[in-house]
Amino acid sequence: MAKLNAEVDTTTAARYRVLSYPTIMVLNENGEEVDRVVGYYRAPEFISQVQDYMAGKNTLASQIAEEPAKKNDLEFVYKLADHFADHGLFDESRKRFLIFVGMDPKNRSGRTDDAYYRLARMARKEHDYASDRKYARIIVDRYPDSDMYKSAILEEGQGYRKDGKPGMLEKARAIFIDYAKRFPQDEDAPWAKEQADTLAAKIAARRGA
Amino acid sequence: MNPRAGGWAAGALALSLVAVGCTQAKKPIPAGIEWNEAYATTLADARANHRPILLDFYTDW
Repeated sequence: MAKLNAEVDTTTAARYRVLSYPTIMVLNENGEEVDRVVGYYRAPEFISQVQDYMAGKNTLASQIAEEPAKKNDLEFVYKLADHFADHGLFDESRKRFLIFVGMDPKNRSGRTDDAYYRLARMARKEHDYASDRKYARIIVDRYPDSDMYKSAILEEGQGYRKDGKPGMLEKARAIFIDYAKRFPQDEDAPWAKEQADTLAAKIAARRGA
Repeated sequence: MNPRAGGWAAGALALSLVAVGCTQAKKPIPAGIEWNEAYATTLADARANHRPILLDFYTDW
């Protein structure tokens, strides 16, 4: 067992395509990946995931093999999309998340909003800011009761902020200002306000340059 | 789901690693976990003992 600081041992982190932290990898004795656990989990869930992997269960490889038989199983499709994303296989992940939202447009599963949010975040990671904003906007427009609603507004703001095209910073700033006004008691309101202020300074600097 | 949630589970994670080590043991586990800090050493240990590897990629942020 090893604890590796991925920011220091960048060679090993790159070898296993570690994209976020924490990433706990299960390898066989030859150092080949069996699977990985990405992010924080409660101890019992974490243990059961690692035990499954060591038994060859619920690994990405085994799920890919099961997919033809389970392609109408909503929960399975979401899990597979999630699993591909953990491995940094964004094209494969996106494909399944899009299938998922197509299968459950009315959000009966309660996860369609989550799937759109995942699509938005993946797009931002790949610097596809137009898609990032598009998916975030779908949540805002179609699922106003979603618990992802506020996060989606902020995501759209980030999609504008990160985009280098003219006029985008202004749009981002407007979204963050509006957010702080609409949800003054929200835990993210101070952050939104700070983003708006930083953007104001950036916009002023650009105009002055 | 709140995407900003998280961070609370670092302690739980450490506990879980101990538990995984215990349940998957093929040889006696020493008290406490002896973590390697180098990839090459870990690989050599695993090959020598025919045991799988758990690699924890963390950061200090």
